[in-house]
Amino acid sequence: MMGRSLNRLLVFGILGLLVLAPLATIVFEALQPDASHHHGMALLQLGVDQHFIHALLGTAGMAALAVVFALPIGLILALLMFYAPPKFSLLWEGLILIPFLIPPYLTAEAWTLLVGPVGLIEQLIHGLGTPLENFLYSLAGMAAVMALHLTPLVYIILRAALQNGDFRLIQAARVHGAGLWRAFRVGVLPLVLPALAAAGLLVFLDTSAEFGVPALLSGYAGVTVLSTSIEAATNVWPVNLPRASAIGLVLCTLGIVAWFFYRPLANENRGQIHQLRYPSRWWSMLPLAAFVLIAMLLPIGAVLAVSFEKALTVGLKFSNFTWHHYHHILSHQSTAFGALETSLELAALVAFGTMVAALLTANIVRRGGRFAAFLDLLATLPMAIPGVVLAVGMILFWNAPWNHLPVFGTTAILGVAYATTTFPFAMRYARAGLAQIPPLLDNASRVHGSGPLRTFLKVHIPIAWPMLIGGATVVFALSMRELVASLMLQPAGVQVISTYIYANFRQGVIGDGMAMSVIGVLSSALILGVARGLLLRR
Amino acid sequence: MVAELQVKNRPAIAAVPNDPALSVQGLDLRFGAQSVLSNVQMDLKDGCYACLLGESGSGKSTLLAAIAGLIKPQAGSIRLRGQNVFIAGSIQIPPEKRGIGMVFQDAALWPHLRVIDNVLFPLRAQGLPVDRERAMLLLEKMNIPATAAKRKPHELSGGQRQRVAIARAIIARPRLVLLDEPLSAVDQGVREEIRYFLRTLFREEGIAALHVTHDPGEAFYLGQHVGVLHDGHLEQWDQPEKLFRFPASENVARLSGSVRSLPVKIIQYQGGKAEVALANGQKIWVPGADTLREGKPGLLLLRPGDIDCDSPEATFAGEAMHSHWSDGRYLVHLQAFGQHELLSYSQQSHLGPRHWQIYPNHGWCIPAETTATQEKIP
Repeated sequence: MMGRSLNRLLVFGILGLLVLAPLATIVFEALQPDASHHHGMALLQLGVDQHFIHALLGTAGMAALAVVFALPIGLILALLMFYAPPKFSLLWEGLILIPFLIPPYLTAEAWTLLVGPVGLIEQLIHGLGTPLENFLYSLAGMAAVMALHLTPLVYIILRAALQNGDFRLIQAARVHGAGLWRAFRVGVLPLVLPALAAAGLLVFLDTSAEFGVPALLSGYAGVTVLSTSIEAATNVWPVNLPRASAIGLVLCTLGIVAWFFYRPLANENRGQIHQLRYPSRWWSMLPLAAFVLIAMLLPIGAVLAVSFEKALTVGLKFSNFTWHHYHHILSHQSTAFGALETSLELAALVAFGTMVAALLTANIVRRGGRFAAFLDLLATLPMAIPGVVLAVGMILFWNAPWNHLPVFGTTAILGVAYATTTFPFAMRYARAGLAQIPPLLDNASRVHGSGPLRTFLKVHIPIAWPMLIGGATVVFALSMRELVASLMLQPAGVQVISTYIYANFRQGVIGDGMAMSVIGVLSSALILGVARGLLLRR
Repeated sequence: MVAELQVKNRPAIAAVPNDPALSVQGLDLRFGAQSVLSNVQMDLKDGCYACLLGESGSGKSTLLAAIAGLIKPQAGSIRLRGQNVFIAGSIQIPPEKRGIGMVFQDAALWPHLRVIDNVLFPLRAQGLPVDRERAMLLLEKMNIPATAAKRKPHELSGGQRQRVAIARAIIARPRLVLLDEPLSAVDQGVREEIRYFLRTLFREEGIAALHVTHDPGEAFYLGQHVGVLHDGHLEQWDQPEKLFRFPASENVARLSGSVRSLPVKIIQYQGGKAEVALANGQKIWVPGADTLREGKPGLLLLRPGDIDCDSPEATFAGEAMHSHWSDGRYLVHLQAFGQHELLSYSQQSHLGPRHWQIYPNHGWCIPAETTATQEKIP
C-alpha cells in the first residue's frame, strides 16, 4: 500500500515537473501584460496583432495543405500495398517508412540543395531547378515537405485500418449483388474513413507544430507561422515572453483540439481479423518507386552528395570529392564532435530515464481509476503540445527567479525537454508492453508467493522487455533529432547534432552540416542496433 | 528431510492442529450495487479435495479470488488452517502471504520462464529451498518428459501446460490449492487424463483443494465434498452422494445432473418420507426433506434413474416424445400428466404411449417455496 502511494507520488512529481509546470507557467505568462504594449494581457493583444493573424493563417494554411497532399498519397500507397502488393512487399514497406525517420528540417535542407539554378536537379535536368525552387519556397512547398515527411504516418494508419477490415464483409456484399465499388463502399470505406480523419488530424497537428521546416523556408517564401513567431519572440530583441506564451497558448489550443478529436478515432484498432493475402502486382511498384524516389532517395542522395563535395557550386565531379567534412566532424577537438557526443549521451540517458518513468506511470494507468486517467492524460498531453511551446514553458519555469534548481543553463535542461517531448511515445510502448501481460499471470505470481515488487521485476519487466527496448529505441531516435527545444534551451557553449546542422546550414557551412547528418544517423543506427542486439538476445 | 526444511522455512504460517484447511464464514462480496457472493459459509477438512459446481456468473471464480486474496470481500472472514487471512474491516493478508497454490483456467504459466523455472517459482518467491529434485519428480508424475523441463511453455501442448501449472501449484506444499476450472480449456481425452493426475497426486500429497467447475461429472469424479453455488449463494455443501440424491433446491438438483420436477401437494410427512398428491390426484410416498410442511406445495425431483418405463406393471400413463442412445441405454423423454416432461433410462427406444412408475424409495421432494425455486412455481 505504502509502495503504491510512493509510486503514485513519484510519477505525479515527474509528470508535474515535465508537463504541468511548463504549461501552467505559459498560461500564467500569457495573461501578463504584453512587453511591447505595457497594457492589456498578451493573450488579448493578439486579437489586434496583424503579425499574429498572418502567422495563424500561415500555420493553418500550411497544415491544411499538408493534409491535402499527404492524405491522398498515403491512401494510394496503403491501397496499393494492401490490395495489389508488389513483390518484396516487406522491403517496399520499409522504404515507404524511411522518410518518416528523416527529420523534417533535414528533408527541407536536402530539398533546398536539390532545387534552384545551382541545385543538384538542375545539374542533371536543365530548366527544372528554378520552377521547383519557386514551389519549394512557398506555402505549398513547405506543406509538401511536411507531407513527404508525414505520408508514411498516414500510410501506417490507413494500412492498419485496411488490415483490421474483415474481407468477409466484402465477400458478403459481392455475393448479395454489390459491384466492386459498392462492395468497397460498404465493406472498406466505413473502416477507412475514421482512419483518414485520424491521419488528417495527426498531419495537421504535426505540421502546425513544426518549427524546423518553416524556420528554413518561410523567410524566402514570405510566409510567417506561429512556431517561428514564438521562437522569434524569445530570441529576437526585444524579447517578449508574454507574447511568446500567448501565441504558444493559441498554438497549443489548436494542437489540443486536434488531439482530442484524434484520440477517439485512434482507438478504433480492433486487431487483425480474417485477412486474405492478395496476389502481387508488378505495376504497383511504379507509384511506390516514385514516392520513394521523391521522399527518400533524392533527399538522402543530396545529403550524401553534398557531404562529400568540396564546393557546392562545382557539382557532382570527381575533382570535387572530399573527406574533409567527415574528418572535421570526427576530430576530437571540433565543436562538431562535442555536439555528437552530447547528443549521444543525452539521448541514451533520456531513453533510459524516460522509459523507467513511463513504465512506472503505465503501471498505475493499467490499474484504472480517475487518478490513473488523469496521469494518462498528462503523460500523453505532450503529443498535442508543440515543441516550441514546451520550450517556452521550460524557459519560463526553469529560469524563473524563484526556481533555484540547477537545471536551466545546463545540459540537463535539454534532457528534461527531450524527456517531456518523448514521454507519450515511451508511455505508448510501456503500456503496450504491460498490456501483453494477462492479469492471470499477475494473480499466479501473487498467489504463489511474490509480492507486488517481485511480480513487477520478475514477471512484468521480462515479459514487457521487447516493448520497453522498442520504446527506448524510439525515445533515443527522437531525442537525437529534436531541434526546436534544443535550439531555444541549449546553454552557451553547448550544441547537439540538430542545432549544429541547423546553425551550419544557416551560416552556409553546408558540407559539415550534411556530413554531421550522415554521421548522426549512422552512429545512432549503429548504437541502437548493437544495444537492441545485446538487450534482446534472450 | 526436505519437507521438514520447507516447513521450517515457510514464512508466517501458523498451522493449528485439527483446524480445517479452509473455513469461510458469512462472506459477502459486491461489485458496486451488484451482489456477487452472499453469506457464503464453508469448511474444508485438511487433505480433502472439494469441488464447487455452478453456472457461469454464479460467483465461483470470485469466491476463489477472494480466498486467494486477489479481491477483498465486504463482509465475513476466511481462515486457512486456523490462521485468519481475512476478517472484514480488520485483516487482509496479501495473496503472497497466504501460503496457497492456484491453478488457473488457461494455465497462466509465465511465458519468459522455462517449464522448470515456472514450477520452482513459488519456492523462490517464498524464500524456500529450491528443490529441483521434487520439481522433476512432480513433472514426472504429471507425465511431463524430463527434456520438456528446459523448454518454454509455448513449446508444450495445452494439456502439458495445464499439468505444469498443477505441479507449480503444489510444489511448495501449500495449505490449500485453488483450481479455477482447470480442465475447461482442454480436450476431452486430455481432460480425463488430468482428472486422473489430480486425484492421485492430491491424495498422495495430502493437500486440500477447492476445485470449481460447471461439469458435474468432474465434480463427482474428483470431489470428496461437493458444493453448489448459485447466484452467489452456496445452496448446498455436502458429500457427493447426498448432494446428488438429496439436493437442497431445484438449482442444486439441476446443476448436479439431469433432473426433472413434478409439482405436488404435501399430504403428510413421517420419518423422512412424504405422502404427496400428484397432478392426477394419485397419492404416493417418496423420500423428502424435513422442511416439508403438510398442506403446502412441493416439488418432486426425479432423475432418469428414478423412473422405470420398461415394467409392464407400471401405473402411470405417459407418452415417449423423444429418445436417444446415452451411455449404453436409451434416455427417454416422457410427457406425463399432459404437460410435464420426465426423463427415464430404458432398454427400448420406441416412441408413443409408455407406462411408467417411480422406483420405491426414489425421487426427492422439497418445498416448492425454497428461495431458489419459488419464482418458477405457478
